[in-house]
Amino acid sequence: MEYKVSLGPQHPALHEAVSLRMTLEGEVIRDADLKLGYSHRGIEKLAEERSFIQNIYLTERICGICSHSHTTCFTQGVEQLMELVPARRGLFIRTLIAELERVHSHLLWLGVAGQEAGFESFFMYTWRDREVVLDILEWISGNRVHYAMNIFGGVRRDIDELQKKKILDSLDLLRKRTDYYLNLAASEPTFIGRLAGVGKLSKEQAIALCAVGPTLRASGVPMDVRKDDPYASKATT
Amino acid sequence: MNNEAILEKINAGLKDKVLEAAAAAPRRINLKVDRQHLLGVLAYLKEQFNMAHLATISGVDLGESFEVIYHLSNDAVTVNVRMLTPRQEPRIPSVCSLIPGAILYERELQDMFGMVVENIPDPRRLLLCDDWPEGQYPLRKDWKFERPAEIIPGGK
Repeated sequence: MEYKVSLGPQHPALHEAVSLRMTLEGEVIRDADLKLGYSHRGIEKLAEERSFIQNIYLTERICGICSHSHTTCFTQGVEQLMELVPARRGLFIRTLIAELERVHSHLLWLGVAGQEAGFESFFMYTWRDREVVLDILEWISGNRVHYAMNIFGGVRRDIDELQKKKILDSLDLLRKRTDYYLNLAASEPTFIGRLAGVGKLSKEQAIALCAVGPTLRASGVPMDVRKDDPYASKATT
Repeated sequence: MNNEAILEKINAGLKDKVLEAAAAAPRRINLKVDRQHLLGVLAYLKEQFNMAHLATISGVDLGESFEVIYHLSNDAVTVNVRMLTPRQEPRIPSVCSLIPGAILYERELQDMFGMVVENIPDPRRLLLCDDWPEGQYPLRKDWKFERPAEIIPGGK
């Protein structure tokens, strides 16, 4: 028998406001109709009336997890319009911040995945280690979330020798922890039992629905924008 | 397959359908098409170069007309397909038959620019709220936000 369950727009299990109307068959979700826009802030419209410099700070606030990727995208666009060639060291620092942001973002979602699967300690562990990345970002930029590093022509702060040593030491720790999680996620039977085959997106569906990043790669499509369309310092190396 | 090879093949294969074709930058190709050839060009790109990924559809308000840009890519090149549609009658064909993932972008175009997407599988609003007034399209350049006067019930 089919029946419908409505989840959201306000619900304790949701991280942001979204309305999901799900069609269930027993305990299996067969279809979901979604409604977005509950937290649409009209940033596109705001940006129309602001200067390029002001818009760096506005685009930074599109997202609190991937703030740097939005400013990188915007800065690169303006640099192309202005025919500005950014400083080489600036490009490398820009990429470094982007990669650190990627690491903290992946640790965040890995923890959330653990939490949703009922593996609370996994969530606590990954979020503790995410703090290591946020500390590095704070050493470099002074901020944990909105780093405000990008500026037209490069970045706003340099990295000195002391910072470099601290960063490298922290990365050693993170590498060890990541190996541990990889091993844990691939070998812990309760975790695998909860996740294997749940919400499976086939390769064909993932391509047809224009999925990107880890979602697309998890469906078996080896696409990575860093390799396929290299940006910042990746374009030069 | 790199930029030049793809551009050469597009020039040969889509000669009578494409108004303008140029390599804008490394890994970027810009095409201009007429409304009636859009689906044909997109089908050709998908078939020949595996361009099945649509990053987004951009809407640009140019005054007299709207420009719609389809950002397609494969693993080597991004192709921007540009098309003009008049402001008086902003009708565009739906590309969902070729790229099912386009539905969210097309619904957003309808919300924000008031474009009419023909043959769209699901024409409901996506982002605007339920009580948003009809005929108000916030991303058109002439649309300005005016904060309504605050009325306090029972207040002075």
